[in-house]
Amino acid sequence: MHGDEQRAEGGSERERLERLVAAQQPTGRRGRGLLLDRLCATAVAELDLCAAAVSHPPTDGTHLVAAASDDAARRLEELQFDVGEGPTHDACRERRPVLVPSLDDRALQRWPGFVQAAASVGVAAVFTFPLHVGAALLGALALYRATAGGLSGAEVRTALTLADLTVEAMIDLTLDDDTDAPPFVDALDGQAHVYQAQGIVMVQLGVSLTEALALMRGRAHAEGLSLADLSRAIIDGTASFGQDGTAP
Amino acid sequence: MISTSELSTAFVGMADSLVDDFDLVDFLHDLTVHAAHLSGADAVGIVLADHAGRVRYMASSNESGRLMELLQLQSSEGPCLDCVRTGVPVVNADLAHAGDRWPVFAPQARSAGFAAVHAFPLRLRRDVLGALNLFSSEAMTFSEEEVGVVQALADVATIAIMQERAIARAEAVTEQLQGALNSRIVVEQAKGALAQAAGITISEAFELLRSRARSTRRKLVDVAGDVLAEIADEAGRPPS
Repeated sequence: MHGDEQRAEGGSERERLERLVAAQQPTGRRGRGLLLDRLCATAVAELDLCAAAVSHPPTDGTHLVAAASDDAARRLEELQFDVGEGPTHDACRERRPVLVPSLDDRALQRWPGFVQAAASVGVAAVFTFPLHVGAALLGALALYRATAGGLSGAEVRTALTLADLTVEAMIDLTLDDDTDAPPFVDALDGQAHVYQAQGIVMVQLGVSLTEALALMRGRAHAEGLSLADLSRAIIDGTASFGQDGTAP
Repeated sequence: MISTSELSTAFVGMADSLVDDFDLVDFLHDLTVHAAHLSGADAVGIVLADHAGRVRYMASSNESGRLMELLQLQSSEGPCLDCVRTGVPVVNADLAHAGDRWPVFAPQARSAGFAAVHAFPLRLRRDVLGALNLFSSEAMTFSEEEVGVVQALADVATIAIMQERAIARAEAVTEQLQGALNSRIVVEQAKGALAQAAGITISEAFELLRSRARSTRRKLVDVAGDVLAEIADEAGRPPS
């Protein structure tokens, strides 16, 4: 929002968080499951949280917790599934962050079951970010704090950047869970034509939007192209994923 | 240059659109068309700044790849970025004499056929959410009064972006902005998928989506989401 200052911060914020994520202790899991665990641990440390969790979308009666900073975080997410309400549900349904700086009366009215249970284990604030790329919904990143109060501008940027990294990890996770796969190969930089190309590839291969983006990221990485350049070629028709032998 | 009667018609039309549950993506598209028509600019675009300080496309008066390319070139420098950074309008910038200011952007914009450019901030209190950019193939100089008019159009864009929810809560700005940015992505995904499925151009796909949204009185983002779901359904796959 504030031009240069934020630009500089934004670029280095991502790099800073990538380094912090990589430096987190292993958790016993392998591959990108470990990466998600490390993202949660980084969120807890950097944003002064009591818990952080990554959940899959609470649809079809299943609400799987993909990663959590600890058992308490996992229980807070599972609790939302049990009571059928909560910020994770709303972030996934409304497709925008749900930021609750205080579990006050207003929050209690909105999610009576969740707020009572969360408050009873010491949660005072919860900030939930949808993990999505357009129509492709991967889940939500839930950040729990033991003290009430809003996130500062810098904290919002940190949280959104962590959400970006989590989205990228989850997209790549749909293809493989290779421990050696490089994390964060190419930032999704918000350019319109990348998403147009994603729609094109979805139809060319008859796959989901998430798989389409995962395949594009994999191919760009394998061919040493940027995602933006590959996307331009897909739109021009000079690169395709189809029956012409170019499919990966 | 800007006709008062056309101006009032445009503002009345836009105010009428700002009803409950209006379609933000389509509204911003219409606003850029109004701005192009009123000002005589050849291309008008709206960009928003995201949390990483990247300038992201939200709407434009035409789908010409030229404008998009220009906006993307500006990711490193240019009037729109200056405007977002400083919150101060860039007015009457003559690209023939802007080589010092924007050594990369100015010559590229000129070779793309543009002679003049203006950028007006989307201001919210102390923040700058993005910018309204006007590109012209001929020299175009705004009077002080006209600068006020175009800034008012930029202010309408800010109001529209923030209107869906009360902005009394500091958190609402983040919630709203993130939602708007993702809505745009849904529309881009649907444009690509529909173009590929129907064998039409990306621009034609956008027009199809818009006309379907209008005829069914639904939001562009909702229609785009449905189109993606239908295409995925035909392929026997879930959309996400």
